[in-house]
Amino acid sequence: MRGWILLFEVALSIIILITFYFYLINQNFYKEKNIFIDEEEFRYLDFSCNNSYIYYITNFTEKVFCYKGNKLSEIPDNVTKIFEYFYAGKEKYEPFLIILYK
Amino acid sequence: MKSQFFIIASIIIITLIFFINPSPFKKDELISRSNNFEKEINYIAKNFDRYYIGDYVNKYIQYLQTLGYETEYICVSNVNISLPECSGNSINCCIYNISKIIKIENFSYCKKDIILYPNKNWTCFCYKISKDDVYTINFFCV
Repeated sequence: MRGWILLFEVALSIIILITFYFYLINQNFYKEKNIFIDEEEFRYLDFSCNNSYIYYITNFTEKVFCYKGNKLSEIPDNVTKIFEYFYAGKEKYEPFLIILYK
Repeated sequence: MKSQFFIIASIIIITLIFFINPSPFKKDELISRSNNFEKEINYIAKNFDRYYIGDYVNKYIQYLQTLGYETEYICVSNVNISLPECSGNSINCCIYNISKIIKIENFSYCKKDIILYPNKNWTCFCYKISKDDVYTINFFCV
């Protein structure tokens, strides 16, 4: 009987450790995404939504959420943030914030 | 009974370590915020007029504040960047090196005053961005 309990406990600990391992891997994946995305790739994104990205853009007076070419009034639940950047402007100085989702 | 207690105790400890103390994650967030700050100031200096740097710095700090970050900086510039406190031609970043709690790797700018070479446009920043118990300190010139 004791042997079975021990076996069960060992199995449980292995399952828990594996869960944490995958949890950590996912966290690292997110981290790398956030740090190593080239911000210049997304500088051209604007309020017109003429592209297939999912992003939120604001210049602190206006704000738009673009979902693959469509303007949405609310951020849907099924998206996760992958990148956030505060740009200084494109051709001229006009600061804007972009939050990219996937 | 004893072994069950140990297993439950270790589960609780592991949970506490990974979920309640997200410091490594916060640190990486901080690094990306400070990269953002430096890269955009550099972008302004290269592509626009340095005069806009002041406005960007104020807006960026305000934006970080809404996310719960605290920012402090000292700066020096020999061109107008619309931050009056940044005039002069030397800077000393030692004020951010007082705290010995966290050792800052490669932060060697505290040894002496940094004096700007006069025949060139320079803007230098020494800044500290912090959130709760983690912070990042850096020095850069554009």
